[in-house]
Amino acid sequence: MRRRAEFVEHSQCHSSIQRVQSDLENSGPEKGMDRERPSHLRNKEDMVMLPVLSRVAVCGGTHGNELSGVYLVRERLKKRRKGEVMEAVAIVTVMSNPRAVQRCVRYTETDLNRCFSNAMLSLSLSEKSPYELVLSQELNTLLGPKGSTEAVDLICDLHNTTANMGLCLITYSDSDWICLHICKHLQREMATIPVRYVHYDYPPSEAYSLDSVGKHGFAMEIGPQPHGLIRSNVFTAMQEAVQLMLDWVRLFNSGTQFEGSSLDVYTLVKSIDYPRDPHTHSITAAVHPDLQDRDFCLLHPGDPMFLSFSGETVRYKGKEPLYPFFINESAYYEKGVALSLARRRKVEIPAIHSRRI
Amino acid sequence: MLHMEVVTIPILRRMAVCGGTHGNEMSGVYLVPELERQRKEKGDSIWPIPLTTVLSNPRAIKACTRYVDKDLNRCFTSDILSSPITESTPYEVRRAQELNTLLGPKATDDAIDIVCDLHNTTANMGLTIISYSHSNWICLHIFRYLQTLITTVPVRLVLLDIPISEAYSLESVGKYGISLEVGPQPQGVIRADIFNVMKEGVNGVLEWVRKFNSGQVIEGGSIEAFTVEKSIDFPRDPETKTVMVTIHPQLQDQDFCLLKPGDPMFLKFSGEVVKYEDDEQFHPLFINEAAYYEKGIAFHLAKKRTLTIPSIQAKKD
Repeated sequence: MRRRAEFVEHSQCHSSIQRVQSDLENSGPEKGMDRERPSHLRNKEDMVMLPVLSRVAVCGGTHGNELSGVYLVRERLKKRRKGEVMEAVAIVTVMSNPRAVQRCVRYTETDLNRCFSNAMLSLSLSEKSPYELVLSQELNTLLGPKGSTEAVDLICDLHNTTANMGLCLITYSDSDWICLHICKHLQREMATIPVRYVHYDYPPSEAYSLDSVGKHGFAMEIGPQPHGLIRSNVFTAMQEAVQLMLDWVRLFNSGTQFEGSSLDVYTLVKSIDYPRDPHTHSITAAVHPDLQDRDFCLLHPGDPMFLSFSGETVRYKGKEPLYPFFINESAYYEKGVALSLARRRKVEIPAIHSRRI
Repeated sequence: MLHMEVVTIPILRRMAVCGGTHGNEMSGVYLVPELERQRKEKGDSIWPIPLTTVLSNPRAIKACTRYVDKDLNRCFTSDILSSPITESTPYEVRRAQELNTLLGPKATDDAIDIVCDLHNTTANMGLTIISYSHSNWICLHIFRYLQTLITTVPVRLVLLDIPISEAYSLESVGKYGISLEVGPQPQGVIRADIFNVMKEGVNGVLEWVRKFNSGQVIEGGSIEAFTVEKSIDFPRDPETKTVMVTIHPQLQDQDFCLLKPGDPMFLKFSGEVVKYEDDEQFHPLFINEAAYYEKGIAFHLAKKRTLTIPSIQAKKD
């Protein structure tokens, strides 16, 4: 029976990490992969007080064929109707794209999760506007408006990927202490799956996904899972993670102090497309077997990246070793992305404590 | 070994390899153009017999979906192939009739000898050869050869015991039709390792045809085949018909293993286990195939049989 790439940290990956650490030891602090950015704090012992998170949104079905979130939201809504749930914090549960969910497709006209930039949210709508654009503005009214004081405090948007990424919290800030502490909490508590923090360095106005509508927010991405089906272990992991997140919010709101710590943050640098035929634009190669399923294992210049259908190896020609992720995500073929590449660095997070306004 | 009579079968003259019968099953979508590239580079003589390559469902391939109007791979029954075309005829029915003209007509002497249709599944099925029982002994021998040739993944045979007029899939158009089903692979994704298995499989079929056509005796023996007896659906919400469970972790990925009474089958979202209650033991396959949710199938259940196949030899004119 072929071994599936289930949240597996490959042994080759570990030796890559060891190689990086010895590189760091041998070179000065300016070189090496883990560049330190200026900290926002004078010293690590400073405590940061942050407002309570009084409203949290859990969203699923933003892509209608990413089924863990669809089923999780359905189950939460069912329990609500039966009156089983008692919440200490106001939780809004949202099925983001009902039409796409009903048809079990990613989207019906345009990708909903690219419709939340400030520009898109302020486009005037007409009869010809795509369904998902109308929907994004409705969701912005429900959970936002983005950038205003009325916006929900935290959005957790549930996603699946065909890539072997374990659990990732994907967000636009590397200094959002709420998101970073939640990630740390999940890392400590979840035993069955690796948990990582992925950062897209976009200013809020250009942030294009649903999670950017809240004051804090992240996409919770779990893979690998094919689109259009539900795997038990992936669903269980997502259920556990959402529960842990809500537990953390309750603890935070009740005044618990969370100690300072540090966390690895993966920041997107660039994406790489498949080799394509110059005339037909069809792809001519697949992700190389040595790279397939090795998300977050360091990719070095010269490492195999693609294997053409005729058997030739295409190698990574970049100058800098980087961490690949979203390797072979089926929805990204049409976006021209075979894999994304990130730099990794350690971020210091301060102790935090809630303050009531 | 007991001496068995050698069965003579006419030499094989023409073959077709079809990909993209489901537009989001990517190994076939990319192997077909790769075969054409090989033809352009090295000439037809690389193959033992004239080879036709077909992208079965171009519209679905373009949209990267399984089908546009209707599942193409259910459109090859004699009834559908002979139904009149009107303005409201689904795209795939028209396409099925075109393919029947190109590769058939089904159940006539003009039909192409071998049709090899390429598929992927999200289920953990390794390389599964699917064929109809009426296409003995060629397909069974091809399976036997592939099973000895390919060692990177398990190779198994599924036989559909359906009369030819009711046979609904594309490969039934040929005199000898086989489907190569390789998984697990998500829809819309091309994995290099799965592509290589498919390539090995197609090359293996071509190598076997070369051996057969050379006139040598191909030794018979015994093989194992799985025949589908029934299917099990997911437990569903009675009102909304939405699925209420997941495949139990102990059953997920266990295609072709034995499912015994009392074994876990599904896991409800509440945590409750739904067990297999039937008296008989079966072998489940197509466990958690994404495309089968809408067909009301969580998995098929099959019986394993041992068949004896005779030695065969090509009969030259």
